[in-house]
Amino acid sequence: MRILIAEDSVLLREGLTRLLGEYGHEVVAAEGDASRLLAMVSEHEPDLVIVDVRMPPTHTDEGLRAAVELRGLRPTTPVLVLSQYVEESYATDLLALGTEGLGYLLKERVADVREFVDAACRVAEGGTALDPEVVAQLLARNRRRDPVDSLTPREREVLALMAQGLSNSAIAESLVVSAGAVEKHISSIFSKLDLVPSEHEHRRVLAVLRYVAGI
Amino acid sequence: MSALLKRMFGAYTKPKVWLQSVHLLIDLFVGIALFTVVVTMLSLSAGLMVTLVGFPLLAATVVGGRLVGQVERARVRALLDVDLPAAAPIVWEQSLWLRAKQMMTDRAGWKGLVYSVVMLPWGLVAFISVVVLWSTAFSLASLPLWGWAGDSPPEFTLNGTRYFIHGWSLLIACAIGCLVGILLVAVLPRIINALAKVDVALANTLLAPNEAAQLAARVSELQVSRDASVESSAGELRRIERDLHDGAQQRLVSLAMNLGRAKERLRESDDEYSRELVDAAHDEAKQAIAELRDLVRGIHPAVLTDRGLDAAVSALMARCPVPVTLHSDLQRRLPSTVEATAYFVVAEALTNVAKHSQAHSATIRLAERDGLLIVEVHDDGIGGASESAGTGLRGLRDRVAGIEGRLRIASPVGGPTVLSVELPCGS
Repeated sequence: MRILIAEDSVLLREGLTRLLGEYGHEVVAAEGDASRLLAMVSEHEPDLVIVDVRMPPTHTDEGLRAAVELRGLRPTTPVLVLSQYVEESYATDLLALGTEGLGYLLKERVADVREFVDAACRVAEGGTALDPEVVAQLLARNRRRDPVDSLTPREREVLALMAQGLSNSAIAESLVVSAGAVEKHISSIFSKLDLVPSEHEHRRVLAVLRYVAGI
Repeated sequence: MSALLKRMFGAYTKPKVWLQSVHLLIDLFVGIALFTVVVTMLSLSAGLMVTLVGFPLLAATVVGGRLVGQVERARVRALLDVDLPAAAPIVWEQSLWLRAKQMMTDRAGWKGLVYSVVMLPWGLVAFISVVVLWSTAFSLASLPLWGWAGDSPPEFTLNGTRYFIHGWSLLIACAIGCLVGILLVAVLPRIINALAKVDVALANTLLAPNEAAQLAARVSELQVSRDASVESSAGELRRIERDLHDGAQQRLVSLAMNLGRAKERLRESDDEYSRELVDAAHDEAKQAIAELRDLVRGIHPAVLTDRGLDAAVSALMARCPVPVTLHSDLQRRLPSTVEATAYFVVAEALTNVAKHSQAHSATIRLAERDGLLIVEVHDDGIGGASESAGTGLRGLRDRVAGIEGRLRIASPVGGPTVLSVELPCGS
């Protein structure tokens, strides 16, 4: 897979390049400035773009704004946003344009290299990778909505894992329950949230997020 | 005896009475000069009003009144040893028209002009008083000297009859005159001092700002310095946050990533000891990142700078174990110190809700009304929160007071608890 990185810290840029290289991915370009992101993407046509939220010149959220702009102009380019902090308002901006090929993770998740590379691959293939913290914030922001209140704690857990983009079997593994139990929870969630399930994982996530993020 | 002499005439050995006399004498000449110039300028301005030239002339004259104040305050300071505060400088408006208006309505300037006019009659009184007092006192006191030295006896006329004073009567008259003179010499410094006091009072009334104006000036001075210190400490916190973000945090993430890579490499290794060591180091690095992240957020959350209060408060709500509802009708970004204060109010309030209130739910309201940001945190817990219970609320009150806000807590035992804060945020 061909990857483009926009990250202003040289240390992390080089670390990421080496890390992804170890897993057989090629970093075609690494850039320290968000303003050149669009041009770089057009030039390299990468399979995945990894963007840091906070970058020069203002060191606020230009990376995120560049990512949103990129998704607006090229909805099919998968983007994985990394940030020192996850903020619900950033997530809302990103999710507003759909969840296909979208990732939003805390920067420190790169420490768990295997999980990180898995998440990157999932995003590149059109899936979703949301940090558990993002999901928790989205749920917290919207828990005043009655239907979500009606979920059991277990269903809530399952919903959170679903929102992170995990498959049924992955959810079952993570909660140490059978796949059948997970399916039961999910169908219960869908009925409580009045959602029709579909075959594709990401559409499921999309539906859940549409609901919890109020988008 | 010498003590009595010192009490009566000691004042002459000190410069005070001499300087005061000089000052009072100069008053007349200053009065003549100022009166002439000011009255000429004012009548010129008035006369030229019809040609419009009069307006700038009047403006210049009024501002010239400030110059009078400056010079006269310096004279009072030099000769009477009284330090009068200067009028606050004019804070100039942007437009020329407003500036002209400011000049023509300048209180300090007009007071300087009034002083100039009053100085003529007063200078006359002061001059005559000083001359008469000094000459009478010392000539009478020295009467015996020239009374005897004179060739012809002194004479005076009463009811058409000429009298000559000579012999014993001359001696008695001289003695009486001399006694009166000596008494006058003794009290002269006090009279001069009283006259000088009138001078100081005049200058203080007309050339120095009154007490209310002085206080107002002091208040605005303090306000500026307080605002600057609040702003600089807030700026310092933002700088620390950024330094940590760009430095330590990135380095830690990089360290954790490298440990993660090492961990993956060692996964298949037989060296169990190394594997355990790297695992532990990896976990610790991740924990350090999380701790540093929380710490930095406590210093100054980045999202507050980027997205404002609403977004930052949402993040706080997400971390609060008690369900929180937010009602915000903020339409605009507020000054950064106001946003930061409001943020920490909500953060502390939610911490209390989570720790002590046993509440099932909480509500946050953010609204802007009449130049005030209203922050209200309401919970349905057991109440009984007070400032004496912990340092949190007291620290909050100090923080709110730092930007002239008001904090109120209503928390009867049994609940509910309402914490409300009003912060001035400009309009």
